[in-house]
Amino acid sequence: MTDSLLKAALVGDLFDGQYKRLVRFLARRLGWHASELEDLAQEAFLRLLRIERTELIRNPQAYLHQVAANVLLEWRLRARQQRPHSSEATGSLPAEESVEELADIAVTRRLMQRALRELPPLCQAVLLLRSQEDLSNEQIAERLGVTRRMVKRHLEIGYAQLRDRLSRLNT
Amino acid sequence: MDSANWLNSADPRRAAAAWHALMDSGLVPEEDRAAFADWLSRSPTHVEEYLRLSAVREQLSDRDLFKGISVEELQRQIGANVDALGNSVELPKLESLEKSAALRENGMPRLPRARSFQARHLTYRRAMVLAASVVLVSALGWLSLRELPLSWFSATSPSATYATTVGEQRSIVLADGSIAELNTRSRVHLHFTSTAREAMLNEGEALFHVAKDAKRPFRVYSGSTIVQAIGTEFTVRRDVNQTTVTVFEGRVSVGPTQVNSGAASPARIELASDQRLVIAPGKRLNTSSIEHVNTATALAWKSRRLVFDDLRLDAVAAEFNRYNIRQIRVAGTQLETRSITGVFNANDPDSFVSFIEGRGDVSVERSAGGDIVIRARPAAEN
Repeated sequence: MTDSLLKAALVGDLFDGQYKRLVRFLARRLGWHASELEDLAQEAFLRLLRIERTELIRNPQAYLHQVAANVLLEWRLRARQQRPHSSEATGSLPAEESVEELADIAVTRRLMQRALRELPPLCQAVLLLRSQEDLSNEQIAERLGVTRRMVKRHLEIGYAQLRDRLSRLNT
Repeated sequence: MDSANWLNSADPRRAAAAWHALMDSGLVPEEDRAAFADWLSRSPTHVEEYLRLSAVREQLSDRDLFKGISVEELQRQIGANVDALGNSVELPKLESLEKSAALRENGMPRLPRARSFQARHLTYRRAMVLAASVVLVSALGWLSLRELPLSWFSATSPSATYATTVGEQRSIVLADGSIAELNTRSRVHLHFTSTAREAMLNEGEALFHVAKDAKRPFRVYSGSTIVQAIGTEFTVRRDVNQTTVTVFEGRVSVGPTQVNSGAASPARIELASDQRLVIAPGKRLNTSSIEHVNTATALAWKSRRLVFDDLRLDAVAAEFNRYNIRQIRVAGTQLETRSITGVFNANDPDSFVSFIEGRGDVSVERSAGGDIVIRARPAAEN
């Protein structure tokens, strides 16, 4: 995808589907294929540097995810050209998971579940309301009777601890 | 503990978690987006950590993950539990708990005023464990998540004393999910019952993030002043002759513990966000003495910065002395009133001393004990 197409994609809503695929890819590789994730980050980083700063600032998170999704897409295309009859080539985009990948997902979920239970209850409650009910920090604060700062704080702690746990359990 | 510090943390994992919490929180102002873009562009490791967290975040939206967990159940646990926040709270060791059980019969020990930092540090640690008669129960509550089944203590009403020594700061997550952050050389005693949440600020300064609970008001006692809140954030600072209350979010009411019926001043004053009130005994409570505060400056102590804007030298010295064993003294009334403006590291009185020495009209002496005396040079006294 060229840079101008990329911009177009970001302006429209094309982004959503790409993002889903990207994070599913990432979720499968949390910890297992660290080097692959590293390569992806390296490549995405270099491309981010090429984007004009004002453009990047408009929606940095979406840009990052889009750029990373593009890198993934290109890897797939290249793999298809190299091995035209492989199973990977016949699945058009990384939309469907192989048996192996499904197993990975199940294991990751179990690890996440365990890590989640070990968090302080307030932390779990904040993560639940954010991720399952899509509430804003303000709404979560209201619902749990805590301040907005505390919501933000517990989100940070929750994210950091889950990420730490996952890498520790996997390696 | 300040989240602003996590955004700038040298640890990319922490920084990524803080950026994720921020970027995910809805409409993000442009300056934050710019800062985030800069952070991303600084290192591929930042990109990698952020992508990892995107995956964690995505996993969290999986419905199955939260099977068997409900917000209601979690809220019940929050109410029943005293829980430690990450690594920011030091947990009492089991051996000291045993000692406290053995010593409990002897009643509350006095706090000796030891001079050495080590001695004071230990004394306070111990005092914190020994101070309240029910401390064993609440301390067990602390260990709850790690060590013990919930049923052991869910019926207790936590009561405990927490203290910091010179230069120390700590955060305590309270039984109801509220957070108390103690500044240097501070001591607070907490007592929670089914009808009230009470904190006695015996010394120093504390920031309270109060969890909302309309049935149980949160009260802070500082000398003869009482501060009451329902769900809000504020600091209370106790000095020898006065108490300062600063509100960051929500509203609190401030008043004397004993109301004199004949007094002309109001019994209670309401403070809103970004407002501050200094209460001194004998001084009338008056809404006109409410000041507006700069929130960032007022909370600078959390990052151990001291911010002085046109403050007298003797007050500046007193401020440094709150954080350091080595005390600064100012000799001479003329020098005491000199105005100081600047930002300093609370733990580094020497940098302040060289700042003031640089003016050329003061001399600085250091005593054998390390204390610092600032005096005016004879030539400048004219």
